[in-house]
Amino acid sequence: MRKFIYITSAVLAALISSCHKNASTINESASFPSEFKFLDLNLKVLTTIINTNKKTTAVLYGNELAFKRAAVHDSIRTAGEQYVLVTWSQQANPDWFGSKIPYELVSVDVVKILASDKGITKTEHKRYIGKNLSPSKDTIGQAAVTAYILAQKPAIVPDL
Amino acid sequence: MKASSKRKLLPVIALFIIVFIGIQFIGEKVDHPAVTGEIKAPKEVKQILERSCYSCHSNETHLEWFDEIAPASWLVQSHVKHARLGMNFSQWDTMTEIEKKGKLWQLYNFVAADHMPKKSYLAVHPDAKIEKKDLDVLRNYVLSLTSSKINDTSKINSFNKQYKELISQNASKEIPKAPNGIPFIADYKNWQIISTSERFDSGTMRIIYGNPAAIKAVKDKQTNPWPDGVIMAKIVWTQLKDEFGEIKPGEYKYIQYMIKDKRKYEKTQGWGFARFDNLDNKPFGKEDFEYSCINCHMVVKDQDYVFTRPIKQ
Repeated sequence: MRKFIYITSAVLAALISSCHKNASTINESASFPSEFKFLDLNLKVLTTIINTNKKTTAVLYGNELAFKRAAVHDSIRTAGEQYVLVTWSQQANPDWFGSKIPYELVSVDVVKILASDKGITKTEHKRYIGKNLSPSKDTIGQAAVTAYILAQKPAIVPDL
Repeated sequence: MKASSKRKLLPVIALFIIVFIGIQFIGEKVDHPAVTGEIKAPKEVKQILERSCYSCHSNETHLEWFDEIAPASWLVQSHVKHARLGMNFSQWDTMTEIEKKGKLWQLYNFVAADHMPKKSYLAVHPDAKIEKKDLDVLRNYVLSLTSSKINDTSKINSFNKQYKELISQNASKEIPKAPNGIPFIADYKNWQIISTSERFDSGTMRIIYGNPAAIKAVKDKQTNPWPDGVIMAKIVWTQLKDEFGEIKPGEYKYIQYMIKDKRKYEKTQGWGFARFDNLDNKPFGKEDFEYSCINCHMVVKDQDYVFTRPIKQ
């Protein structure tokens, strides 16, 4: 009987401690739906923007072409550049008062440069909205969003 | 007890008493250096600090009789010495205004997380406990220290100056190294991000990157603990706030790295720390600076000492 109690309590202790150790730290609410395959877009970070009125935080990404253009501070666009603005709502950081972190996805805006010639740029804009990033059919305000995204300057970042 | 065993025990007790008295004369005692520049804070804040923090974090250490008896006194002495190094309200004016604010926000968060005052200290000094109403006083006080100006000209000027510097920057410099040997890792640019943060306590904004090992760990939900090989990089900017309520990155301040290697960085809970300041990537800190890093990360020891809650992509 004593042996049985020892073994059961040892197993229970191990279970409890392993559960404790494995408490997830992942920010699930702000995570991307796996079917969106965000990482497959192969994007790099250009800048980050907070909107204190809308209480949102966003990251502007670019594909390799867009990133290269940003790195040389070139104002001329080339076809194939892609810009992606990911916007989250914010939440108070549970681990640090004084800090806000992403809460839920609000939208993902994808702007592609289709053609660029003599200062005239042809673009395409796709928008995905909500936690599940459902494609949005609403085209109102598209031009404004595109202009807004293309007007952003990359943040100053360190390099060698 | 038989008389013979009593006789055997007597020399042992006598020896114990002699040793006990003897050790009272050795070891360092808590000193009381002069108060050179005490913190200036509202009365109700200062009262809390004096009651709950000053005994370890100031030069005005008030000791109980039992704190002064060896061997306990040795422990108290080393504890006070370390505490004063971390935060000393009697030498408050040795810090810059930004550092002072940072320390006070840190203080609030340490208290809110029950990380301070130390449980072992509270066990013998129950009066030092910080109750909810006192915590609110501290919270309102640190909040009163923040300011966020719209179109702040001095911040815009620093940003413009740095932007010019960036364009004229020359490539191929020597790779800078932190005092602990961790180099500046330029490859972070090719990593994915795991989170962002708006820090209204310090008026900064951040992006936290993870190397491919970190992204894999997030995908596999293996972030507590994080596996060896994971590197995180955090970039910090000042906030530039405009009249439309938008905040964008202003002047670039520094990059910080956390590298997971359980064996190599055993002394700092398995994490190697490094920080490089400004665009010239000046290594931050002196020898042993990493202890001040892990000291703060102890607040989140239950999540493998990492504040960032990573976003899965």
